[in-house]
Amino acid sequence: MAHTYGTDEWDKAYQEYVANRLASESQPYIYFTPEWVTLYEKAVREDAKYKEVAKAWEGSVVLHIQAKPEYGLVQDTYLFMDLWHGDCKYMKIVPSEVGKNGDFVITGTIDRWIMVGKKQLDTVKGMMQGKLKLKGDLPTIVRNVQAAMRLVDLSSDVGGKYPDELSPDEVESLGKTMTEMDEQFGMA
Amino acid sequence: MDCQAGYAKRLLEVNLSDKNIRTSPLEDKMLMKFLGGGGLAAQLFLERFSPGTDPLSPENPLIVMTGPLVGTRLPGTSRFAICARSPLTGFWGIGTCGGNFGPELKFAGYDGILLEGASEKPVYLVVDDESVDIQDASDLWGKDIYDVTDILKERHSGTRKPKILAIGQAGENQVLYASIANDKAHYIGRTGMGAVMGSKQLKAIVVRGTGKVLPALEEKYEAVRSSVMEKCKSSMVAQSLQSMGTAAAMDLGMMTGDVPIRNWTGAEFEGSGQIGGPAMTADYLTKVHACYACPIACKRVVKVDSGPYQTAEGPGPEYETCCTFGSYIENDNLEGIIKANELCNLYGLDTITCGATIAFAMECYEKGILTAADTDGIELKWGDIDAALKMLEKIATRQGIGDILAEGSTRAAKKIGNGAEDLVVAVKGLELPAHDPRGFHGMGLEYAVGYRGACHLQHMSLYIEQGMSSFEEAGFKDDYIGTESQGKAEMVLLSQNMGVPASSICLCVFAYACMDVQDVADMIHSVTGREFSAQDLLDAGERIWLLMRGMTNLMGATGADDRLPPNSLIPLEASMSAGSVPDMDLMIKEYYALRGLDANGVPTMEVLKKAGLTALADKLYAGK
Ligand code: SF4
Repeated sequence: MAHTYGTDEWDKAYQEYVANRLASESQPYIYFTPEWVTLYEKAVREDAKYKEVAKAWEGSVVLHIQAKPEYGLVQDTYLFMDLWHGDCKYMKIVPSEVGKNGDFVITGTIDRWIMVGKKQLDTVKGMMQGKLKLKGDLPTIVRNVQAAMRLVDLSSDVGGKYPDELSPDEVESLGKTMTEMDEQFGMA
Repeated sequence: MDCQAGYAKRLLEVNLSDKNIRTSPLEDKMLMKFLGGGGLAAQLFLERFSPGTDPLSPENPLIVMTGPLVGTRLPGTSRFAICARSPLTGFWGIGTCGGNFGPELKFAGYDGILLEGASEKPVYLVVDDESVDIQDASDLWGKDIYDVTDILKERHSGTRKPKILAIGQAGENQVLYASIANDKAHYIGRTGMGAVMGSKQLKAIVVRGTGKVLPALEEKYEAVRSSVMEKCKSSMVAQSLQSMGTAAAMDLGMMTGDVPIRNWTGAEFEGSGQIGGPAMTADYLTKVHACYACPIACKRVVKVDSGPYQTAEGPGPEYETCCTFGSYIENDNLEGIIKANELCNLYGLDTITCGATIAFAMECYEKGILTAADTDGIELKWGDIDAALKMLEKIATRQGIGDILAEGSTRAAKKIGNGAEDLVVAVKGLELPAHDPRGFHGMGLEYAVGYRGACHLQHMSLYIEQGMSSFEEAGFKDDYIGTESQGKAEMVLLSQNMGVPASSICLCVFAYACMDVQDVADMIHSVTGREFSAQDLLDAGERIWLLMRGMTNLMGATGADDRLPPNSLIPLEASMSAGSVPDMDLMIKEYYALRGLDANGVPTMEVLKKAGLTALADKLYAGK
């Protein structure tokens, strides 16, 4: 039985889960896994440029990565970032129902996200061309486009292993991790 | 009269000198070859008029032309073109706009109107289905566009209000970049078609029609319509336009080095965030507005409630206007820009050329080429929107230095002298629109080789090079780096072949940017009933581009005119283009070879014949 999102119990269990992952996994972490998210969160929190360009930003941003079982992504992932005036309050993987209701939700296939990470796809162009879909108030994004671009830059600067580079064993292991997270945290 | 299979197949011909009015047939073959809009107008001009005609003489025709999709309910198909030899550039002049006039003209049973001659006194034309009448406009002469539109709508309101095309005082005064307005909200600004209309003493055209535009293949039409409507609704380009208008490009453009600053010499402009789409939406937007049958609704309606820049509720400034009266002159006061836009609309002035000409004058002032003694005491200092507004009024009324600036920056510079020519930012006499070729080299090539001068609309490069649309199925790469010149000649050529038909079928480029080339071909096929493939569209694009380029060559343009102005080639290290400048020699050389232009920039006989343009070839190569 999964914990209920929004409760202390869920938060505590999630933190423990992440701590265990950090202890058991070695770097480079796989993109969009909970352990990779901790590195990303740290990078955003410590980035002076992000703080400067995101001074006016208010609201949560969710990166929605669509499932691709061949890469071990057996279900959709929602990376929730609570961002406020240049600060990052927290980042975590959240249940789909929570992720879908973020203030700004950017959706893409994992292949598109990999292209973004490798700087082969510009996020703004990707959104304009429909390769990434945005839900949320466009004028806010446009007014803060530099903050959005910086967030994306930081995600690729953090580095990590892309899901299309995994060995068959790693694919299997990632699939198991996602299933396990769903069972514990009700991600699907 | 209904238009069957997309076309009325009729041209309304009005001679304003002898008041002769007649309709003439438009042959199928010609329609399918040149489609409509600018292509058809160019062919009509070529067949019947002299390229050497004085643009402001009765001999220069003014051709209003729609396309086959206009009047259907397909998205973005409300547009029409107005063409003549341009008084501003001396070359082929074409302006296009959306609104509701084009569809109404089709409902009245005409594909276009060809206006010849010139009236001895002010008149306006009334087209009410089959009834066509020239009426006295003495009481309307001297009135601004909003007033004359309101009066005519009221005067001719029958069962249904008519649609209006009108000029303001700038057109009457033959300001060389005077615009023509459709129902106060949509403007044909580029290349000075309003001055040609003014030279004919034609104040307005009133049109009302009761017919329909009927697609030949009803079922196919419904299917393609529902598919393209869905694409237009779901596209991010469309959503961005709907929520912020074209001015969204200000904030995004600052990120890419697209926004020109300080008459194209500046690299940074801190005020950009205060004059773009989000700011306009937050503080001045009262509602959005759409052209006929368009689901995108990119048009802004704005109002400044009080203060020195108070305006009535009316059309909001487009991106270009936010630049020309904003970043071009380092003004970060959006209310001032909205006011400038309102004044340009009332007088009937192209906001691009007007703002750009004032920016040019400001640089002349900074460099001491113009002084307060030349400007009737107005200190033309950077950032001073009040000085710009005063200058705008002088231009519209041709008072003082306004009389010189009313000629556009190229001619004004010749009169001013003392190095002013070096500060002009125009190609073939047409001021550059607000997309900087240092950030997007392909745009530089478009500007240089464009048949109407520096143009951002008669092709699709803007969308493709900036990555707003990818059109991979048409043969484009999925990504272009703006600051590279390699490979751009090919991109530009294809984008022209793809985009030029839009100004002939009269499709809005914003709607086009949400679709595929195949969708456009399917729309033409379903409406006209003729087989029409994506390749047919590209072939038509090539033919029509060559035709209009050839017209401009006939009017005197050579390869020497295919050059970017100096200000647009100054490397700007601090800009997002990071000191990049387009390699014009490389791109032009490659482009000429691909397009089939000779060393003088003229389409070769061979390429013209291959495109089926024998009449043009005969004229270009007469006596050779
Ligand atoms: S997108 Fe804008 S300009 Fe184009 S047809 Fe629609 S409302 Fe008119």
